[in-house]
Amino acid sequence: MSNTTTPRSTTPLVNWIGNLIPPLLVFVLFLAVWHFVVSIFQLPKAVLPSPLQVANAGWENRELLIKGLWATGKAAALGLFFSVAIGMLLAIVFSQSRWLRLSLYPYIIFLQTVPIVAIAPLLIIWSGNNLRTIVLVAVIISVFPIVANVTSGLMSLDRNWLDLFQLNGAGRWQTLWKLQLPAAIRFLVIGMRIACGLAVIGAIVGEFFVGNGTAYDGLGTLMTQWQVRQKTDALIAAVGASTLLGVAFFAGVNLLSNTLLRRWTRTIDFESTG
Amino acid sequence: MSRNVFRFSNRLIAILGMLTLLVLAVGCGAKPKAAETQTNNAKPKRDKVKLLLNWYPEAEHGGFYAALVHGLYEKHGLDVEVLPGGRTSAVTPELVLGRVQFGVGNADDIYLGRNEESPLVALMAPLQINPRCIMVRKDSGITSLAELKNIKLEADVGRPDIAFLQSKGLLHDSVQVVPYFGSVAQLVAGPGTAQQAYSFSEPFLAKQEGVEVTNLMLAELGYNPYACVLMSTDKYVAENKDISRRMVAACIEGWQQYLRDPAKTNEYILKQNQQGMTKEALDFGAVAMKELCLPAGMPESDLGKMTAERWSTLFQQMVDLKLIDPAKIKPEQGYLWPVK
Repeated sequence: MSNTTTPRSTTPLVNWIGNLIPPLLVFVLFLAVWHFVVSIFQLPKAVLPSPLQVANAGWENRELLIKGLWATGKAAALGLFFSVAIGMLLAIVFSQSRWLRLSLYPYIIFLQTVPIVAIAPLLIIWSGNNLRTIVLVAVIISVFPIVANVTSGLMSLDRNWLDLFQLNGAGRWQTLWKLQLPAAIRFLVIGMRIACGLAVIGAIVGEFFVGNGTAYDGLGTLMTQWQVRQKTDALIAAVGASTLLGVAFFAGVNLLSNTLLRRWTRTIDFESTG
Repeated sequence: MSRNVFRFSNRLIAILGMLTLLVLAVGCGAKPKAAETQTNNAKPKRDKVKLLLNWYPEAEHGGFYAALVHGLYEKHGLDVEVLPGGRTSAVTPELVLGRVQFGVGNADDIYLGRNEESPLVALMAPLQINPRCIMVRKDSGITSLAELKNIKLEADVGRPDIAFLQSKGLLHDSVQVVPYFGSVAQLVAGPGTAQQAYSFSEPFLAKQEGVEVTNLMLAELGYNPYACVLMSTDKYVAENKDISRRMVAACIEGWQQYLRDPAKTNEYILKQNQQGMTKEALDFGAVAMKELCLPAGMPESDLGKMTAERWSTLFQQMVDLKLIDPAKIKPEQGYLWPVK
């Protein structure tokens, strides 16, 4: 790398691979430490299986895991979708009225702090053992960052722009549609980056409680099942799969931000997007 | 360049040092504490051991508590700390790590554990009849497991008994199996819900809520693993034969005591259980326990007894359900009776 006076002159692919190497190194180091901890201290498999045993269990259960990824991914995607829809709607309402914002915002914070584990059984009584309840849990957990970020996006406007709109006699809707919303997209993306991981967690927690009947086998259901059967290796493999799902969601949000929403988000300078 | 490398390696050493500390912290916690039990500075020389229960203290742990309350552990030279379990109690890991010396679990847990390289071994079985049942409301009209249809069943989905029911073709698609949270609320709410239960516990709680129930026993269908067995690990028992033998003796006497007169013990259990247990439920449970521990004229002296037939029947059932792999474990590895 002696000839690089400006790193940005490298091609995107090289850049991309360069960005990939440090986290991969960390991952390899992590696996190595894990492996040696298990072998040096001869930890029982029930307490902590080695990475190889986990990989093996993951491979043996690959069909179940893939089905689980699909089922949980679907629930989490639905949860994220509704979070974005509901969250944006709420944020718009909040941005339009100080009075509404003052009276409702505390309850949105309540959503953030609600002990989902405690109310999940109640949600089931109200909504039943079905996908809807799982999505509901995912929404409750993931809606807050959307509301919070989009609201601040809609509110924190450049004073000069606002003056310009007012001088030209722009109405409330015009200001919202042409000034506030475009400015809030960047904040939406930031909110979604937080919310997407939470949606996955929400879906899995939802599955812990809602279960599978005989037709639905999400990652959360698999985890409870393997825990009962004392299969710690398979359990950790499922945790790994859910992490992958979270990463996939995160990548999806980034992709969305770099393509469809590019027009409004290109001013965000994230390291990951180069 | 070389300085850079040097600096880098310095940092690496720091990181490795921290990792080592972490590893030590984990490792030290993991070391078996068998040595501790051998120390004898206490004057009346009692061996300290820990017994971890698999659930909140209830009537099914009665004998283990009776031995404590009535000084039977002490009589056998043991200083036993009985640790209540709960929703998250991890009896297997605690045992294999040696943080506790004895635990309580069901016979099928032992084979599940051994199948995953946890060398668990049963030492005595207080409950001859497994109390596991499916509880339905009387007004659901269901009187046998074969009639379970169009109903929601709350149960621990991964448990072998559910797999057993499924293998018997009893849980049709119209039975929706959902997780169980340890509350009879949903069953009380409507006749569309059935739930897993212990025949001496939840049915009583449902009755207290004003709901008449029917217990459909799994044992009657042929799935009858010993319940609430006293267990330990191969290693501990091999290294502590004498303590194990005395522990088994004390537990058997504790159970005999509990079946004879549970009053004092139940008082103690009630104090230990902060999960909404009632005196009435415990009294009911203690009476029901008699039939489960000493069924059909089994003499009191046989309490705790285990037979090779029962264990191999269970083993075969679990092999058939593909829950365990006969290439990995053998039926006789799961129990020691009597401890010699």
